[in-house]
This record gives sequence, structure tokens and C-alpha cells, in this order.
Amino acid sequence: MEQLIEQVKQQIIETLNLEDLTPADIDTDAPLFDKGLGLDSIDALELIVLLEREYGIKLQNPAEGRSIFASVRAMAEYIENNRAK
Amino acid sequence: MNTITTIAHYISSPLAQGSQENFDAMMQGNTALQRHEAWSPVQPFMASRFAQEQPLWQRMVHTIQQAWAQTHLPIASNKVVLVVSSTKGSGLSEPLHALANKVAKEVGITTQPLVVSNACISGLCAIIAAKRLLQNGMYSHAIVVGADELSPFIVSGFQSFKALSTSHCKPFDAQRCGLNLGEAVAVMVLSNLPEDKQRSGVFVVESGVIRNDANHISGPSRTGEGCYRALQAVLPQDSTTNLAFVGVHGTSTPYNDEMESIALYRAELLDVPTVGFKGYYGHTLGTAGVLETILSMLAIEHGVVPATKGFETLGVSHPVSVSAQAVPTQKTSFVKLLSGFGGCNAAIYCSKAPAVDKPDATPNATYTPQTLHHIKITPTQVWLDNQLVSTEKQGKDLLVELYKKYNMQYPKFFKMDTLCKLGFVASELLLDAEGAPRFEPTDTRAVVLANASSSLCNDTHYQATIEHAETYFPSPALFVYTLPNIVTGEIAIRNKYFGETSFYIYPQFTPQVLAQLQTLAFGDAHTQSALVGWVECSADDVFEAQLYLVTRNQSF
Repeated sequence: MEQLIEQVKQQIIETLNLEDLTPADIDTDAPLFDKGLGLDSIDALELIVLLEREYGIKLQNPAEGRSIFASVRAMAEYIENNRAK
Repeated sequence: MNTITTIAHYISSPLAQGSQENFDAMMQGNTALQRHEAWSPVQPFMASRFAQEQPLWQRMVHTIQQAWAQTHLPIASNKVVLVVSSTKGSGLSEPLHALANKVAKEVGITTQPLVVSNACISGLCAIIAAKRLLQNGMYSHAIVVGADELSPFIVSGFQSFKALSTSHCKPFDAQRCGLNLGEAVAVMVLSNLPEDKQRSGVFVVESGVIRNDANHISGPSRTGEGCYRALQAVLPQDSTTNLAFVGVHGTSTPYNDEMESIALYRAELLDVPTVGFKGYYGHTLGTAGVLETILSMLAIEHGVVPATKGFETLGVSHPVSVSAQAVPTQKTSFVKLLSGFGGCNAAIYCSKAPAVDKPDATPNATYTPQTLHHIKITPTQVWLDNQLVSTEKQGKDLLVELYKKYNMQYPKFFKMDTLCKLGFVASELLLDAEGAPRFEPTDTRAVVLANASSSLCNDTHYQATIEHAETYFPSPALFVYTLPNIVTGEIAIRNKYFGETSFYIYPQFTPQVLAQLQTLAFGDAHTQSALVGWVECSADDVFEAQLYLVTRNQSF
């Protein structure tokens, strides 16, 4: 799980162009949206693409993202349980 | 001030050929919206598409010829101009200015066309731009053509935004879950000649403005800010006494329709009948403003407020008077609204021309724009007020160098495409040179920019995400930048500019282009200063910006 968490952090930084951030700067349990990284609605949609591209997880209802993207840990747990690749 | 009237129009759509024919089809409740499945790996989608394949330019030529024939005037005149409204034209292979020139040449227009590409509000922007050019007196007639066609590029992008409904759209309804896209070409002929006011079916374009939310490049404002400000600016004091209806954007996405309900509430228009047209035609992108304005004029002509197809139960937070059924009206004015990516909003207010002509009372405001500061950025050099700025890097790295050197502290910068980065750093340096307090909200400063390649550089990046079936992952973060006007939105958001944001396409930057951009910018009497100029980017390391901070020096 720790390895997956590191990997997800790296993918978030690359996919969302979070300049000057390293995985160590991202708190595993902090919210990704609203505060924390200050992500917005386009970032949420881009994270949905990330899930599909990297892990073969298709999310049809973007509202599901709210709980999945609650934190990096929540995201990694969801990936672990649902990944198709 | 010259009265600007509409003297002819024509609609080509999957529903019918001809304005009246389209209006009749709409009043019968017809739609060409249906499911399409042929573009895999693009998911199946609901859209209104032409049954016959035909190049977009040919549809434009046909529609212009049908509209212009009604005027019985010669088209080859230095007083006749073509104004094209389009988001993507015929695709990446043909620049919008080339499409416009081809169409102009084919129909016999001899003047340089103007191309408006301001996302989904382009159609209204084109009408507004035409009105300003005619009021300026350089032309007597403007042919406004709205034209877009659907492609896997566009459909996949809207799907990546989860914005499309797989069933018929339901504007303002509690069950609405997204928009449908549509194809159409629509033409309006505008005139500033007094004798044209005597024609039948003439409408006066009383006012038209563009305002920005200064909030987000894709999400509608939670306060309906730009839409509300646009409404307020176009409506006269006693407007509601003769206002038959408000033609909303009504895309049927949860956020757009909610945003419009807030704007209508703030503008005290909840009691005015509200009509959405997307249930008949879908969202026709660059055509929507022209198409829906023509349908609105015909509705007034026939004394009717049309029904909002797809609407059953109100599903927005304010009690908007959405017209579920067609009802008669004696009133003769309407408002047409649109909102689009880049945070832009447009409104026009039109009235049926009175039988007895009123003399035009207001004089034309004259002004001599004054340039306060100028910046030029190329891939190797930066010139601010003709002084070379010391830099080391080249190409897109130069833009990052400027960002860091001037300590701009705006992490969103790194999410922008190169066109936006270019416009952003250019505007930052200009405003730094101005030396005025930054980030104070204002709606008297406009951002009016132009280029030749539209969003081509980023378009190719987005195209790469949909090119191959095995790696088909359309990127919303790239798709949002496949519109050239996003750079104006980024500047508006950064600086809290609620004023006009507009984007035009020309083959090249010339002194005449700069002069026309200033004419267009200051055509809104509310605009006191503007960032105008050129932001061109054809590849990540091939770009040029020439931005001017200009003030209105008004005299009467």
C-alpha cells in the first residue's frame, strides 16, 4: 500500500502539473480538494482520466469522485480494490 | 448613434432549410436530436447532425447566399463585411481566417472578414462586433455567419468534461443531466442605413455586451456574476414593460442552468418568460447565438413565446418563469443570453423596429485611444516599452523564466497551455509597468486579444490523447485550452476583471488589426481601458505576443 501511495502521489503531481511539489509535500491523509492542494473541478476530471488510464478503472458518475478523491490514502485504497490493471 | 437593424436572415439546420421553415418545425416541437454511434472509440452520443455530409464552407456559402439574396443589394462593395463566428471551424487543418477568406471570396465579398472565436458565446459576440463596426461607420452592412460542425475532437472533449447527456436534454428541468451538441449554420444581415429600417421584419439590435465571471475557466460562476452584469448592462430602465422573454443559454447542464437562474434572480427577471432552444437543436456552439437570435425574432414576429422543449419540472434554486408551453405575447423585445468557457457571458437586447421611425438621439462617442504601455515577447526576446528586458532562456522556458523573475506566485500558471502562459506573463509585465494597485475588481477594463493560429498548439496536444483507439484517454485539462479565448479568461480571473473579454482571429498582426481591436474594445461605452493585442502560438516554442495597455480618451 505504501508503495502505491507514493506512486499515486507522483502521478498526481505529473498529471496535474503541480510544479515545485514532491511526493513528500503531499500529506497522505489531507483532503485533495477545497484546501490542501487547492485542486479544482478540471483537476477532478483529470484524476478520473488518471484512474482509467493507469488502473483501468472506469468512473461513469463524476459525483463518485468526491469520496474517492477525499485523500491520497482514500484514492490508493479505491485503486487497490478496483484496479483492472 | 446609428440604429443597427437586422434586415435578412437564413438558417440551415438538420431540421429545415430557411428561417421560417426552422421556426415552423420548432413550433411543431420537432427536433433532429438522435443517438449517434459511428465514431468509436468516442462513446455514443445524442446530437442534432446534418444527414448529408458537406464541407462546412459550402454550407456557409449557401446560407449566406440565401440570406443576402433577400436584400437585393450588391455584395461586392467596400461597405459590406463578413463577420464569422466559430469555435473550431472545419478543424485543425484549416485556420479560421483561411476558412473565412475562402467563404468571403466564394460569395463575392471584397473586404477583409472578421472572425470571432469566443467559445460558446461567439455567435452573440459576432452580432455585437458587427454592430460596433457598423456604428463606427466603416461599413454599411455586416453579414454575420455562425458556423461549426461536430467532430470526434469536439464530442470527445465534451465527454471528457462529463457534460453530455445520453438522452434528450432538459433545460432548467429537475432531471437535467447534461447537454446535447448540434450542427447548424445561421446568417443574419445587419445594416446601419436609415432606409433599411423600412423593410419588413426588421429588428433593432438595441444593445449588446460581454462580461466575464473572473472566476474559473470552465465552471460557471456560483453568483452568476458575468451573466448578471451582462443582463444589467443591456436592459434599459423600463425594460420589463416590453420584454417578451429572455432567451437563456439553457444548456441543460446542472451548473449552467443553475447559474442562469441566479443571474435572472439578481436581475429581477424571474417573472419574465424564459425560453431555451437547446431541446430542439442541441448546443450548436459558434452558431448558437445567431441561430437562437433569429428564432427569437421570428417568435416576436409571430407574437409568441416558444416552449422550452424538454422542460417539465423546475430544477433550479430560483423560481424562473420557464415557458413549458408556447404562449401568445404582445410584447416586442427580447434578450438573448449565452455563457461560455473562459468565464465569458454575452447578452443582446433586440426590439421589433417601430412602424414610425424614431430619430436617433444619442451622438456617437468619439475617442482617441492612448497607449500607456506596450510589450513584445518573442521566443528569444522581451521588449517592454521598447526597452529590452534582460533574459537568458528561450522558447517556452523563457515564459517560465519571466514567471519566476517577476515573482508572479500563481501556481495555476503551470497548468496553462503555452498560449495562456504567453498572454499571462505579457499581461503581468504590462500591469507591473502600469504601477496601479493590482487585483482590485473592475468591469471597466476589457481584454481583447487576437491571433492567427487560434489554439492550434494545444489542439495538437489534445488530439494526441484521442488519436489512437488503444490509448484513447481524452484529457479535460487539455480540452479546456482548445479555445483561444481562454487566455482572456485567465487574465480576467487573475486580475478580477469583470469587463469584456473577446478573442478574434486574423491572418496576421498589422496596424489596421490593432486599430480594429481598439474600435471593437471601446465599442462598449462602459470600457475605459483595455488590454488589446496579439498572442500567437503555433507550437510550444514558436510564439509572439504584442500587447498594449490602452485607455479611452473620450471626447464628444
